[in-house]
Amino acid sequence: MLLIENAHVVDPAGQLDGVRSIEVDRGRIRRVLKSPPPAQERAEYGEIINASGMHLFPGFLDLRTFAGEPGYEYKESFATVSRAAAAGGFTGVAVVPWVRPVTDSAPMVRDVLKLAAAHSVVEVYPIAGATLGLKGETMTEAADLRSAGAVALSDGGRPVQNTLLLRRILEYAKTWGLTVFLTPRDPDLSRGALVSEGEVSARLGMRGDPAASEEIAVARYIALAELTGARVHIEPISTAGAIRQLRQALKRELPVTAAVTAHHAVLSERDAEDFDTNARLNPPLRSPKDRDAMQKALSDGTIAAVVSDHSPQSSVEKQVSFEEAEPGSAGLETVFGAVMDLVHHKVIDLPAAAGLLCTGPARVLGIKPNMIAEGEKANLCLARINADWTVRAQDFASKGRNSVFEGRPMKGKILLTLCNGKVVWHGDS
Amino acid sequence: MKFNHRHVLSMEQFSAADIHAVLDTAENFLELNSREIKKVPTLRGRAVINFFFEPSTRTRTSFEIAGKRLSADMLNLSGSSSSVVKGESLVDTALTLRSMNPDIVVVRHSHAGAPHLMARHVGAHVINAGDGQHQHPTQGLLDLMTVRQRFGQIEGLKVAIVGDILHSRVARSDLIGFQKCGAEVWLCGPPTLLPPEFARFGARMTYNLEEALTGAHVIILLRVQAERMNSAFFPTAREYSQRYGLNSEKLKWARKDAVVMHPGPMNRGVEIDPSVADGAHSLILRQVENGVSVRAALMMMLLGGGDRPRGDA
Amino acid sequence: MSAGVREPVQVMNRRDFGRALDRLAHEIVERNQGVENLALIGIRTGGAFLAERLQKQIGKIEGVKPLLGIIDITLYRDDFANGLSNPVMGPTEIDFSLAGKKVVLVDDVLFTGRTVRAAMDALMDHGRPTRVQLVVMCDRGHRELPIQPDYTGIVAQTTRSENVKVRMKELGEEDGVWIEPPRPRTLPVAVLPPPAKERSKRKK
Repeated sequence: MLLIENAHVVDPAGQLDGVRSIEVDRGRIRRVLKSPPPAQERAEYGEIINASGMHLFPGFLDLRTFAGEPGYEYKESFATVSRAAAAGGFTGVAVVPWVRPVTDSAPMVRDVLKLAAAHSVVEVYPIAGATLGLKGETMTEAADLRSAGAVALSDGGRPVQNTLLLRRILEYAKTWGLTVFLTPRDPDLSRGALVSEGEVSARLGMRGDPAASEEIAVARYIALAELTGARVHIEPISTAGAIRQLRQALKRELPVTAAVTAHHAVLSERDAEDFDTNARLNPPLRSPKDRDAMQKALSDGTIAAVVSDHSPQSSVEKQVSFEEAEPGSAGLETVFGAVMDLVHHKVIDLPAAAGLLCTGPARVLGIKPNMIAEGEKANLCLARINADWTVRAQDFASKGRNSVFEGRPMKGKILLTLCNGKVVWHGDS
Repeated sequence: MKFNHRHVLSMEQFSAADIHAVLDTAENFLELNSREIKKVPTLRGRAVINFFFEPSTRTRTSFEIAGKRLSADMLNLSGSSSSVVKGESLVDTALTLRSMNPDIVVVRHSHAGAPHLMARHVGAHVINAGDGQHQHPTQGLLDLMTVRQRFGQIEGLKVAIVGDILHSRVARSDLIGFQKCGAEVWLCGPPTLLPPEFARFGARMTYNLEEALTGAHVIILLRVQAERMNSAFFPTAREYSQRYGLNSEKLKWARKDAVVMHPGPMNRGVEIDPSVADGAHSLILRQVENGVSVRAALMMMLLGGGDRPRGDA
Repeated sequence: MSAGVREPVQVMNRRDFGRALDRLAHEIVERNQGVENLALIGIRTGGAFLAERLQKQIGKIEGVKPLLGIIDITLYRDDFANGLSNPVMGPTEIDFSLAGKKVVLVDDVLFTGRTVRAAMDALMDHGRPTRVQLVVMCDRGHRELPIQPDYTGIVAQTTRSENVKVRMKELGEEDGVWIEPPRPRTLPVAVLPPPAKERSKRKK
């Protein structure tokens, strides 16, 4: 039996925000105590962690993790990605379908789960493709996918251009209670884009991605959510215009949610050095105004979740020109630091931060969130929110060595992560 | 004055003083051109690699002549950025070149920033000979040189850059260079090729050619690429030519002593009428001549760092 | 260091300078039997002013001025390849053909001989003179190359690290030749150790 004593517990689902001591036994939370157990009982614990001055959160859930397996083992694997997740405080990751072969059939979903069971130290939730091969042409068997264990459908980063097909996909997914993840982009407007359209694209002579591309797509998805009543999740969003529309949609109580990546929440195009391939992202980093809009939307609940958009790349894919570089950043290990940046800058408070990483994502998938309460699964992470560190991708648990935060100082570090009561991450200090 | 640049990557890196120092040196190279023996031993034993990932006879030849005039060993390599050597990253290429121990690597690449990446790994001075639609600093310098030669100064001149601003690395280099030297720069083109974000450069912008040309000392025309005509940036070459092409009639809007420049190759009859291209106002051939001098000057200045001990020896 | 001077010492004053100029002009005319096909080429920058003076002086003697040109040797310096110099080029101004000319190279100070060597290379690239002679105002010794002047204003005993300055009114000073103490840390080019640490490292 493990005792974590005197931790500041922040549990958004249970609305708990105070100092507690937690007993963990056989994978579950046995008791949540207001004060540490008396001295004579302490012999009962196999291990006691003095967590005073530290914060204890329910394990985080990521909605956008590229696990590399199957097909891209040189970029990432379940063994490495799950450790990266654990190092970032995540006890669950929803894995994206754009692996090879694409997760677009029940056997593929089962394969992913099998690989995860064998190698992952955190819980894995497969997201399946909404169309075969993510080609945007033929619907996948949503019911079958669901029973095989898929938790959601996704257009796989490639917007379905045929609006009628998209409507059918949403209607059908609704029948089986599956959320559909949609990519807010107009493929024509964004074709060949490398950076956000504006200041940077003008200066560097690289094709720009106009904010209108995202805004057009968001308008389209909101209209379809209203038409079909299906649960639509738009991710990752990056523009102020998208936020304006979302706010409207939420006011009208449409079944729409949205997520932003940790990097779009704290960085803007001005933060990236010219031609740094680590800053080659999709969507690109936007203007400071857009970033500010993200932060406002995080603080008022317009955005449901912060995601890692964990996209590890091998050096081959980043040691090339900006144009040739694969987009993406290995994000799992920097989400917490980035979100804490928002807390330290008083954009959001700690319970809200925990909400964006635990309850928000769970709500998007329609699953039960992790909680710190008696009888719950012991999915927990212990953090020191004032710990200073500097991002060095070479030290990542992930295979990915590409981080848009490379070299940046962060304040807030995960010290210990438990998944089903097992220690899956034990950081220094 | 010290020339403190390890590489030549972008016009942004230069101060006005740097620019004038390069032009001063380049002016002195012009004399070489008129000599019977056009070669000097300055860079004897030095190796310059001309690495052109994108074909460009004009610029490559200019660098080659410049290097040869200085007695450098010139090595021309061409590569393909898109098709052939998949698997060899640009960094690999840079490391391979590094092992050849060159002194200067001249890089032309269809991707913005490729010379910057090379500069980090190649272990030699890098000169950007045009990267994507980003920068073409040696063209910018030769344009500045051509204008300074004609007007004796750059400060206070009105410079109109006309055409496909959006896709032009020459426009980006020119507009920064001319502004640094105190010229008033006007950008002019159809809205599809002159998006509003160019306002960040601080230049004046107009869609009206007459406004751009009125009172202009310098008119820089940009090439209209065939592929732009086919991707709906403007309806037809004919309409473009009518609105933004320069002919002798429209040239009258500019000052009497205005000069016309073009980075080449020209589309005669589209952005420039033959009578203007070959007319008295045209400095287009002068640009080519100055190009060699500017490139030789840069090679010399990059390799000759440190203070020159004066007086004795 | 040497037992050289601590303060600048004047070895030629304004009147000495004038007399030397006059003598050099006479010698040049005498040796070349007049000014026909005679061209004075000054080595930029010190030699350029001196060449101009000599031209004027010879003009006074002969009634006809010899041709005058200026040569810049930046591109011919043999220390350039060491990455030593901060190349500040001046123009070369020779607006006549050198073919068939008797050229007199003009420099203010003759030291290692390397400048003259460079100037001769540069000269040859401009054409083929029938003869090349050398006139210097001050020969300070310490030659590193087999080069001797044909006409000399003054021979000065110096140590290697001292500096010889030919001052002229064109430079805003009174005509004269001075020996100055060694400048701290700015050694003559020729005795600098091969600097290119980076280059030699890269070679191996």
